[in-house]
Amino acid sequence: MSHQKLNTDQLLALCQEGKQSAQFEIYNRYHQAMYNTALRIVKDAYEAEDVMQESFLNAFTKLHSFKGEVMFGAWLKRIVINNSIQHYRKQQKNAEVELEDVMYRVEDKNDIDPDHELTNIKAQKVLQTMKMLKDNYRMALTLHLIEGYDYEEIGNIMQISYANCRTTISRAKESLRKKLQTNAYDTER
Amino acid sequence: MLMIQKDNIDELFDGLKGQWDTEVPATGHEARFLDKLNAQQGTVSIKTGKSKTSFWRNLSIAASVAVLFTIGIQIFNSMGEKAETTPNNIKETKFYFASLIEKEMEKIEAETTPETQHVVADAMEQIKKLEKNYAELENDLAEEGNTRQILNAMIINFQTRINLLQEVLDQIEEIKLLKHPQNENHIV
Repeated sequence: MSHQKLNTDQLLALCQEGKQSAQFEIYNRYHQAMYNTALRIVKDAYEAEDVMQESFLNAFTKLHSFKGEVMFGAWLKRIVINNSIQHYRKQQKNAEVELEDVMYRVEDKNDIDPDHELTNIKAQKVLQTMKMLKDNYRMALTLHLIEGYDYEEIGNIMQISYANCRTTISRAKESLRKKLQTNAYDTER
Repeated sequence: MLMIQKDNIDELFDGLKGQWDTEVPATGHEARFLDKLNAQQGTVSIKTGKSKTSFWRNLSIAASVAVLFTIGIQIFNSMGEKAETTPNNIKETKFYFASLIEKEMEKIEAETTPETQHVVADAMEQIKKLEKNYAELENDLAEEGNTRQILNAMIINFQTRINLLQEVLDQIEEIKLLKHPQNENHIV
């Protein structure tokens, strides 16, 4: 049976019955957006995939608690974000900065993946610059400017106060602005 | 070229809306996801390898103790009525425990490493003592006939041997963990 033509609600009903083909179809529809969301928080491709896939499994097991107040994609994304942040915190606890990472980051600075289309360069460049920000700046900016959450929601997600969240975002913007300007200046020369 | 003036970060991001999700997971991610999906549906909760083995070990201990008592009770029950069949029962019991013990000993021998040699050698000596003790009990049984006390002592002897071997296996496991490179991080 093909699920390609079913709408999300119909698919979700099948998912809740444990139909694997429906769950896989949901995965196919949402995985890329969810993967990118996870990647922007955890930074590592392998870990992002793992977090993203685990989030789908989490979502399927607690699908009964999805009441449809928000779109399914938004509900799922929230699970991905929470899992990503949880994963990041776990990483921080046994943090080791490996030399390879540092070298990679330095090399990475002005390199643009040649596989990406020209129209993506701008977004790519911004994302790469964001990678160089402090972790909490990067996360706050991702959540605010890319995922579109407001201060209160971000405060909840990152477990910081509203005021703290505002300050963090405004400082993060300032830091990003400076870095983008230096980069632009570097390329101009 | 990116020239960013004050307060236009929001504008920059607005302009890039819908262009963020360009990365794709590494090839084969669908297969990896299906594996996870299968694993989740196959079992309610997946235990880690280690706790699984210790679960089976506990179960096997519990099972052998249960069998032990059943057989023990059977022997006692049959004792009074038909004394002449009892030696057969004892033989069966002996055979059962002997094979159980042999299996455990094989496991231990397979695990023997230079680090665990000492423990294993010590255990084997104790086992020998217990075997000697068992042989004496067998003699007693032949001389005095089936008495509850002797049969009881024989069962306890088997039980002690099994417990000893289980304990040795646990100790070997512990030694292996101690020597595991993962636990060597803090010793520089």
